[in-house]
Amino acid sequence: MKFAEAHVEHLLGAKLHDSDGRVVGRLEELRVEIVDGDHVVTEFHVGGAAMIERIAAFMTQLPFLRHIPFTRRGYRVSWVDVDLTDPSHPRVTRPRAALTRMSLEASEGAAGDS
Amino acid sequence: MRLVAEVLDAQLRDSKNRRSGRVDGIVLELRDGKPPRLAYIEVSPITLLSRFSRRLARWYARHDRRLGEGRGVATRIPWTRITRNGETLTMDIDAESTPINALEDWLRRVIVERIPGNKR
Amino acid sequence: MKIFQIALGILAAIGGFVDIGDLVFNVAAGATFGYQLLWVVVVGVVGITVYSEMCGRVAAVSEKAVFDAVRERVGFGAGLTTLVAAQIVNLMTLAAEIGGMAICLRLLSGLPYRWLILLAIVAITLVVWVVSFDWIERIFGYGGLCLLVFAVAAVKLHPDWGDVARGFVPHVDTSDTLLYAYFAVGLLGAAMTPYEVYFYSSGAIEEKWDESYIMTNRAIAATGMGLGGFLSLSVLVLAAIVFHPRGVSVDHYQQLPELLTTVFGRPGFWLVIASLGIACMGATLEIALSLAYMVAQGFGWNWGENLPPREDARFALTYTVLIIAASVFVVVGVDPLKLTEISMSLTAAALPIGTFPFLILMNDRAYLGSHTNGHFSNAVVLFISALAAVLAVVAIPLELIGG
Repeated sequence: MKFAEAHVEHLLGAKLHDSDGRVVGRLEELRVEIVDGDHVVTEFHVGGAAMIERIAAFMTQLPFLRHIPFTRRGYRVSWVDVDLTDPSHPRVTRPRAALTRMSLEASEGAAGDS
Repeated sequence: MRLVAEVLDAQLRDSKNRRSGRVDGIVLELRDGKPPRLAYIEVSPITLLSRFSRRLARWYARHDRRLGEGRGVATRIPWTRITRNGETLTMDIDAESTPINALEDWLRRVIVERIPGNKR
Repeated sequence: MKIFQIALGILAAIGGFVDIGDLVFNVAAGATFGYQLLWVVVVGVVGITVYSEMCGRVAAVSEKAVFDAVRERVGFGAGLTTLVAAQIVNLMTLAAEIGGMAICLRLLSGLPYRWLILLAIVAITLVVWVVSFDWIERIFGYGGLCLLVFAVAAVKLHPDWGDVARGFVPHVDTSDTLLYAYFAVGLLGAAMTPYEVYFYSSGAIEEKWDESYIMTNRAIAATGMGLGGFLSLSVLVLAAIVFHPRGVSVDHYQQLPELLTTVFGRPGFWLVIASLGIACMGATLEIALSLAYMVAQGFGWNWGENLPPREDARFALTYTVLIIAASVFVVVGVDPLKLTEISMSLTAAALPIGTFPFLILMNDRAYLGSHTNGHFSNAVVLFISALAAVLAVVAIPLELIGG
């Protein structure tokens, strides 16, 4: 059965712009939940903070990390606010200022014993 | 669940617990007024190459098509056939019933089985 | 009993510490600087022991080999970069070891070197095709213990133990500091070869380690790498005793037999051949398998040296093709010892590149649960990577200008 589709591996790293044409950031992660028995994308995580969270969650504990501007920028964008009509050019349908910012918080406990 | 961190590039095992490649791609079904649905995973050199170069992927697909019917396109596994076990994904399908191991089967038939000692 | 899997640790260490390139390099270091560089070998041993323990821990807890897990964790781009970088360096080392096997056969037979390369290729391919991982581990792991003859020889020559002890304290007692740094980089690179740890963790998966092997892994990593380091130190000390006082510079494998003939007479020659042969063959097998493990794990193929080749055709053909490809270097006449020197320097310089994805993995609870790195392990990894990189920045230009 044919349907409109998007490929996650091609969406990864795509630069998203908001409704005003401002850069929101690069798409780094897609959050999925089960809704009515289907696995569906509920959030798109965008920006440097999203990349850090995806690749190296433990780094969120590093005290100096918050001083690096790149790592402070990140947004959790609801699926409702992302237009994938043209999957090769995904865009955010709201202004950047209206989006939920990501904050780097320690997402894991203290490092374990070696 | 996080698609990039936990699904993309994860090792895939088949119903007999054999390693059957990695998740090279993830296909979302786009629906009007509804959130995108996780539809398939793709396991294929075509998909992997397309992450690097779409041109290279098309070239590979063209040559793969010559190897037989059903070849030249990425192998798609419905997400409903997949279960997650930690960092590994398991499909409830025997990999031998899919084109996933087509190259391995070809290499075994044409080269490996002709070399003494291949069964030990 | 789990502890008998110590052979895995020993085999991994043999390939890393006492293959032909490392042997000649250690001998040259001892001949040139006496005991001054012993501390570098110790730093390398500490580093590789920590790395090996971490890689074994990944295998035991996540039941994945370390590159398998890194590939999954950091994704396609970074995984491919690590794979390509490692393959280039390791292919050079593989070529050097095949050359080393041919050198051994030449010392034994006097036959033309190029023919002996072909014989070495056939022998290696036959072994890796027909012999299971368990038996490769036992034969070349325990067989590598014959290299203890270098330690025996060193003791028999009654070195000044005070001077030897001073060699373990970092100091530079030479005007040729650049050459000293060059040897330091080479010795670090010789000890910290990535293929050792990829082989070790893949071997742990072949042996079906699980979380109950955590403590055994520590013992095996420490004992295996410690033994490898001890052998490396023995060779350096022996060379310092035999060559340094006479101001003999060592840059050719034909000088190696003198290390043991000095002590054992003619039988020393046969001991060198035997130990060199086992070490080179063990190293060749280790590197070939390590390369193939990385490729198979990178693409998620079925793999396992304990499987017959027909059950993992892509993996079996990968190591076969790599052995042949590496051999091309030595067949066309590239000096295997020069290849090793280059690969050791590149290894040291490339350490920080591989370290970052590795550290990500070692601190990831999804793979390691409660067994993630503590601050000590993270600090050791960062320190050694930084040290290796700094030294390499100094030494590689020297290598390039033929110093």
